[in-house]
Amino acid sequence: MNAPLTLTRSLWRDADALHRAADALFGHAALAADPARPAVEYDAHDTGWTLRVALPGVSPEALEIAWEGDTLVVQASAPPADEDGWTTVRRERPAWSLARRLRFAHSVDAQRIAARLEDGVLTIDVPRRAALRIPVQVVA
Amino acid sequence: MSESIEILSDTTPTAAEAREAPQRWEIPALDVQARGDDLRVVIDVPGARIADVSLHVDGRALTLEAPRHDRPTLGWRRRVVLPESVDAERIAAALAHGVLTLSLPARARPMARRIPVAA
Repeated sequence: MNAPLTLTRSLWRDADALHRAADALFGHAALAADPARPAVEYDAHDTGWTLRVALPGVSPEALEIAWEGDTLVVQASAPPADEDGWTTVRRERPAWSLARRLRFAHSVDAQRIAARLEDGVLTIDVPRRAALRIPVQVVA
Repeated sequence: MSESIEILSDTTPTAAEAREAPQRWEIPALDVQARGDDLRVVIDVPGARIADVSLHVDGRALTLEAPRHDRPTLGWRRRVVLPESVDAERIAAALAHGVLTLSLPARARPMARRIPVAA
C-alpha cells in the first residue's frame, strides 16, 4: 500500500522509538516525542484523509491553513504565556511551532477541505477527488 | 488526614467510574506560576473535555485524569504534590482550548493578634 502522504517514514519511526523509550522509562505513561514540534497524525480512508494535530491553547486566528497547488500548508505557533503579574517558576510547556507542507498521493478536492479546532485539537478533512472516468468510443 | 475533592466534573462519580479508562496514560506538560503565596498550574491537555476531567486531592497529592475524546485509547494523567501552603478547599480549575488552569490559593495566614494583658 502507498503511503497516503509523502511524509518521511523514518521520522515517524524515530518518533515511535522515542515513544517506546519514554514508555520504558515511565511505565505505562509516555511523554510526547518532541513537544516543540507537534506531530501531524493521519488516518487514510476511502474518501480521503483525516489529519489531526494537538495544538493546546491555540486560537483560530493563530492558525493558517492554505492549499497551494498540490500542497496543504499548515502553520501555527503556541500562544504567548499569559503571565499578567504571575512569575513562572517551572516551565515544561514548550514554545511549539508548526510549519508543515503536506502532499497527498491522490488528487484532492481542495474546495472541500475542511478544518475545525476543538478542545485544542485541529482536525483537517481532506477529501479525495473522485476519479474521472473517460469513456472510450468504439470505432468500427 | 485524607480528603477527596472532585472538581470540574458535571458527571456523577458513578458515571465517571463507569467510563472506560484509556489504555495508556500520557504525562501532560505543565507550567507553574506564582504570585505572592498563590500558585497557578497551567497544563496542556489537548483533546480533553471538561465533563471528563477529574481532579482528586488526597492529602497533599493532587491527581489529574483527563481522557482524550479525540484519541479514545489515550488520556492525560499526572500527580503533583501540593505545597503545604495551598488551601485544598479553594482549588479551582478552568479548561479552555485544551489547556487546564488550576488556581491554588494559599491558605490565609493567621492574623497577628494582640493579647491584652490585664493589669
